[in-house]
Amino acid sequence: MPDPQIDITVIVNGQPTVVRANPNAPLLTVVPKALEQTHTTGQPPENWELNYEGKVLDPAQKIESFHFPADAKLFLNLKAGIGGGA
Amino acid sequence: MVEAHRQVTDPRVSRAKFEREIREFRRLAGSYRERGWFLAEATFPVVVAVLAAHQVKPSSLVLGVRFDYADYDFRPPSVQIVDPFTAVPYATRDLPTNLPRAVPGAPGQIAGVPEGFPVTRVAQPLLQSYGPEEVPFLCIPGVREYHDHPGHSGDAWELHRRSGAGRLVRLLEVIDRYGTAPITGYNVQLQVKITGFQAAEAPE
Repeated sequence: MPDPQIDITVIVNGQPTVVRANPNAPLLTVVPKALEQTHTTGQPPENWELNYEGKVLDPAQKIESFHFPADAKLFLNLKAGIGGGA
Repeated sequence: MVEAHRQVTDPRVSRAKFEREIREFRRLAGSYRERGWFLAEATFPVVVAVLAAHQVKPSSLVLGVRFDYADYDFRPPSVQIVDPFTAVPYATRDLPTNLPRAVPGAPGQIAGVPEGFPVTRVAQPLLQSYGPEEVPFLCIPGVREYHDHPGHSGDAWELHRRSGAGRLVRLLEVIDRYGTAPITGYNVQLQVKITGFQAAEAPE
């Protein structure tokens, strides 16, 4: 039976890690795994955003709907947060 | 100019973390180059990166960013927007962009619009300063100037350190997202000058 899991390379604040994910799951499921694997703590998953080729991705969409190539790199970064109002 | 600060962290720790940032950037340098990010200088504790608007033709270097990782990560890095050719910090009035970010506006903010009307969005600059001659600072957590500002005393660096808020790529992502990525083209200003008359062939 074929393995339904796929490997996605996620770059967390510049640090790469490979996350094993279910392609039928929403993209947001990748976030806590990537944070855990890179020992990045202190901010909940909703404070992060994934982007691919410079575009922010919808975390609610299923992973398979993006049709990522095998060598795709997703960049996971903290949102800008509160600021700009000093 | 960044104020002199007494290094309290073992310099070997700061240097090791600095070198990790540079190593990880260079490992993916090809991906960052495609986005218009280039490392111009990386000598501890200073990094200078330049960002280009690759999406417009002809492409253009838009700005430089100077990071100072002295005393990292006991303290967050200092971040300054600089001239990409000289690495001299821009005064606010000379900035190529102030990194505008769309935020919800207050209801009734527009004169004549009744309260409760659908909220508008306004552009709030992420680069803040006290005047056009001042060097601005990037007003987000993870930046030394943000955490040193008395208005942010309730948002300590220690709350953000473990999340990587001060990491090189994360900060470049923010500057790119609000600074260079939104650029769609050039503003062109032409001045017409009348230099004489067009005339028919001279009569005999």
